[in-house]
Order: sequence, then structure tokens, then C-alpha cells
Amino acid sequence: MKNTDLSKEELLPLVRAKLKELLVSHLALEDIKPEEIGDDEPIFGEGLGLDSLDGVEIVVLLQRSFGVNIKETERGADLFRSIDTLSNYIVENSPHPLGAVPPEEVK
Amino acid sequence: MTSYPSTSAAVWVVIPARDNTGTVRDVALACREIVPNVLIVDDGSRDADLRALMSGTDIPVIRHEVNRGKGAALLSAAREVGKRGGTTMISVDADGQHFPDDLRAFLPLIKAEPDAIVIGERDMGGPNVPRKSVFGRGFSDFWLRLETGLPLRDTQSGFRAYPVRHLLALPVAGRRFDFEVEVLARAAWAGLTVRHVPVRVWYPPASDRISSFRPFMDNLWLTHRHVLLVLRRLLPLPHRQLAGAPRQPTRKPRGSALGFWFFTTALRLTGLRGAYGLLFFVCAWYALFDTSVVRAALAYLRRRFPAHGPLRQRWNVYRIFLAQGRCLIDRYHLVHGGDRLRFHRRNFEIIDPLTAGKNGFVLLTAHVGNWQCAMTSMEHWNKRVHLLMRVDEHDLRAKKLDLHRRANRIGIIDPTGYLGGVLGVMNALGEGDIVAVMGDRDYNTSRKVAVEFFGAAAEFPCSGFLFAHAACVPIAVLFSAKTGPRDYEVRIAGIIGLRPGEPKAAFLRRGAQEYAALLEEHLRHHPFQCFLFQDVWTDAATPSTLPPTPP
Repeated sequence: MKNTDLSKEELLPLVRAKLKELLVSHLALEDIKPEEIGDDEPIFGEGLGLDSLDGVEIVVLLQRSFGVNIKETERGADLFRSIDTLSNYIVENSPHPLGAVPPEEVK
Repeated sequence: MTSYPSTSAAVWVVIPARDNTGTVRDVALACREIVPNVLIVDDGSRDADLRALMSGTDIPVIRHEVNRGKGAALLSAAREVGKRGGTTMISVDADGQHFPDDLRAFLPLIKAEPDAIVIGERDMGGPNVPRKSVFGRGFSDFWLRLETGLPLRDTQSGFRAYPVRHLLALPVAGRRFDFEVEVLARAAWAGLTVRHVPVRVWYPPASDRISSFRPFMDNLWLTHRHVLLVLRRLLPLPHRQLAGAPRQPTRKPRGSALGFWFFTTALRLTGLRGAYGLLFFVCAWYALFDTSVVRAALAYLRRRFPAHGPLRQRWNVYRIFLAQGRCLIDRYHLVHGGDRLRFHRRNFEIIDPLTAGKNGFVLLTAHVGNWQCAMTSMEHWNKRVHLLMRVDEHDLRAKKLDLHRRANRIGIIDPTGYLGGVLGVMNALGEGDIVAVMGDRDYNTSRKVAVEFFGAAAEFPCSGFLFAHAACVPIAVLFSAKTGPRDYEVRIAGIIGLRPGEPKAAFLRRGAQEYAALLEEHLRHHPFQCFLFQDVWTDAATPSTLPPTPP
């Protein structure tokens, strides 16, 4: 059950903004401001310049902030393609798409 | 007649010759019609002056004053062609057995893949083809298959195209007829592509044949070379990859199914002791002559035994090779149901709380002792274990660990998969499973953490520590060592736990340093079972020229 009454269309821009903000703070992206990150920018490689080990941080961030666990590892490449694809996944699967998972729910 | 349109200054025909007075001029001139650049190497002809023979043509002749062998002649040709700006050379035998017209078949392949070696595959169905040549070809193909795992055909054919730069860079030891088989094995190991093109062959009646091939001596050399190449393939040491060479897509890792077969046959026939015995000779050869792996081993030995001089260090290299060879043989023995090895678990009680608990942990090990065999100790744990290992090693390691039988207990996460297997690792740890990681292997990431290792600054990969910190799980460090002819010790060297609130950077530094200290302590007891083969030290005065990490 989502802890919000907003529709998917209303949620998406908010989730994208939250995700960018969390990426910048958790991954210490010093020279990048959240608003400078494009919605369709690749997360790994060229785009934000993140490598596979940053994936570790993002997995943790998704668990702790959104309560999302990506169990289908084979879908990883599709889900992590861009801020957009990841935000969609969060909106569809997170009980807390705007972040702020209560500590007792963090697995 | 005009030259074939796609030839250029880059392609040369080279003709190694020795006493082929009756044929070499015609062969060279006929080749000259197809490819404008032709070079003859006179490999110490006794009765003929090939330079005089070629006077009046624009075909250059270089000469070895004494006979040095076909391989040496081809290398001289490659250097000369390189000097003259050529990038590919096609070797043609001087005795007239090859049809110069068939050069045309090589040219499109050279153009498409300038880094590949192209073998002219002879049609042996014609008249006068000696039975011994047909047999020799099949025999040679069989050996090359064993050595490279590739289905190479007509591996004795002298009609071939070589990329000059790569030919000169390959560490080929043979200089006589063994050169032509060795160069194929070395090329395949170095990641070069090998292609085939069908060609015709003409053999004169036996009475008219002039061949430099000495049946007894040259066959002896060939056999000697094949034995060394097969043994080299079975030795799990890295091969230097040629820069710019595409990876052979069908190339199998060393120790493929054929390698298994060879080793198990040797083991069946001679037992463990006999197989160990073979190692004394093979390892001596490599400790003396294979500079690239020796250099890799010395990076460690210089720090472990700083007081030892060069001779003593070479002896130490030999001991490391022997130890690794024995571990490899033991592994084959174990895979094939051998029961003569005993594994002694030491200090396992310290991880009882971890294996009994519901949380997962990272099991950090290293390329020391017999880490693959040590994995068998994990089946006693009441937890699923995931090994972070490359997928192209799957079938082999799967066999080694008998994964089919224990499919539910041991899984594999492919570090070459998406995000280096990070999702699989984090899921497994989240499920309360164990993830086994090589602490000295950089899984496709350049992120390292600085530590002190044997009194000098070194860098270790930080993957295992990052996983543990992110998943909030401890690290158990496991090392193994061969302690007797049939005995192994598998030891939990220590546990590296997270401290409450410890920042990531601090944990990476502390964790890696504790791991390095445990590894150093282990290697103080078992100095010749260090199979890092990677220079982890950063204080080297000269840049590292080490080969890539072995699988």
C-alpha cells in the first residue's frame, strides 16, 4: 500500500527529484546539482560517470529510502538505464515512493 | 598480367628457401605476378647462390650464412618486411608445392582481418601426396587442438598469412619446423584470431622431392615442442595478450575439457605421485625460460624475501610454480572423485555465530593455497554460498565443485554480468546467504584501497569491503594451504566486523589493512603458495609490465 494518494503522473516528477537529490548526497557527486541531472541521462558509464560499485550504494539507497528490493537481477540493465526508468520502477513498486521508509521496515 | 587490385605495399610474400635452386626462382616470379612485394630468405643454402639466381629481378634476397631453421628464416623475413613498411606477410614454400594463384584467396581475408593469422588449408586429395604428410597433418592438428582448445586445421601448412607486428611480438621459442606449430598455439593464447582458406597443393614424385625436413630429428623436435606446449597450457599461469588483438570468441580458458581429459588420463596412469613428478621438469623449464610469469611471481618474492639474491629468487619462483602445479593436480584429482586428500578445518568455530545466525556475511579469500578445493569446506554450513566468479569459467569450476549435486547450496554470481554482479551480491546478502569474494581480485573495477603489505605500500581491490559495509554484514577471511602430500589446511584467519557508525571510507581502510595483515601472516607460514601473479605494490620504481590476472 502506497503511503500517498497521488496518481502515478503526479508522483513521477516528485520521485525523480527525490532520487536525484539522494544520488547526489549518497554518492557524494560534488560537482553536480540534482537539478542538472537529466531525466533520461544514463546512470552508469557516460552519464553520471558512476561505476558498478556505485551500484552497491544505489541498491542500499533504494532499500533504505524507498523500501524497494530489485529481486529480478536480469532486469537490472533496463531498470538502471536512466533516472526515468528507475523512478518508474519506484513508483510502481515502492510502498514509500516519496522516500522516508520507517527504520523498522528497512530490510 | 596486372597485380590483384586489393594488394598494396602492406602485403608481402616471403619465401624461405634452402637449396631449392630448381624451383625458387619460378615460385618467386609467379608470386610476383599476384603480389608486387616478394622477399626470399636464403637460409644457409650450401650449393646455390640465390642472390645470383634472382639477379635481373627486383626481388630482394636476404641470407643467413649458416642454416638457422625455417622459423628463424620467417622471423628474419618478418623483420625485413616490417622495415620495408609491410604489415602482413604470406609465407610460401620454395619447393613449388603451393600454387601462387591461391594467394588471391588470402587477400580478402587479410583486408577484412589484418590482425588474424590465415592458414592455407591444403587439399590433400591430389596425386603424389605422401602418406606421412597426411598423417603428420592429422597428428599436428590433434596436438594443436589439445594446446589451444580450437579446431585448427592443417597446422603444418607453410602457406600462411601472418600479421608482422604480432608475429614479432609472440614469445615463440622454436626456430626450426616446430616454429610453425608453436606460433599457432602462442597466437591463440595471445588472443589472435586464426582463419583458414582452402588452397591446392602439388607434390612432385618422390624421386624429385627436395625437402629440408629431416624425418627423425625434426619429428623429435616437433614432439618435444608439443609436449611443452600441452604442459604449458595446463599450467594455470597467464598468457600475455597482444594489444590490439581481438579476443578469439571461441577461445576456451586454459584447462578446458581436453585439458581435463589429458590430466585425468595422466593421473589414472601414474597416480598423484607420477603427476607431481612431471611437474619438476615442466616447472623448471618455465622458471628458466618464461619471462612473463617469472616477472609476475618476482613482484611478490622480492617483498617476501628481500634479502635473497637473483639466483635464490629464481629458485623461489620454481618453488611457487611447483606448489601451484601440485594444487592444480590435486584439484583435478578431487574433481574426478579422488579421495586421497584430507581437508583439515581450523578455527572454524569462530564463525559459528555467523553461520548459525540469520544474517549473511562476506567470505573473503585469496589466490593462496588451493582456494577452489577449500570451497568444499563450505558444504558443512547451513547457508547457501554464492561464489563471485567469471561466467566463462563456469563449466570448469562447476565441474570442480560438483555444482550439479549441490545446486541448492552453491550458486554463482557472474562479475562480468550487469553492474559486475552487484545486484546478485546484494540480494544474496540481504537473504542471509554467504557471498565468497576473492579479496585480491579486481572485479572489473579500478577502485582500490591503499594498505601496507610486506612493509611496502600496496593496493587491494575494495569490492568485498564495500559489499559488507553496504549490506551491514561482517567479513570472514578464509585461506587454505597445502600442509602435506595429502593434506590441506583450510583456516578461518579472522573476522573483520563493522563498528557501529563507522563511515564507509574508514571501514574500507581498516578492513583492507586487516585483510592484508592476515594474508601477510598466512604467507609467512606458507610463502610458496602465493599465486597472486599481479603486482599489487605501488612503490615499484618501474611501471608494471605484468600480464593480466589468471582466471
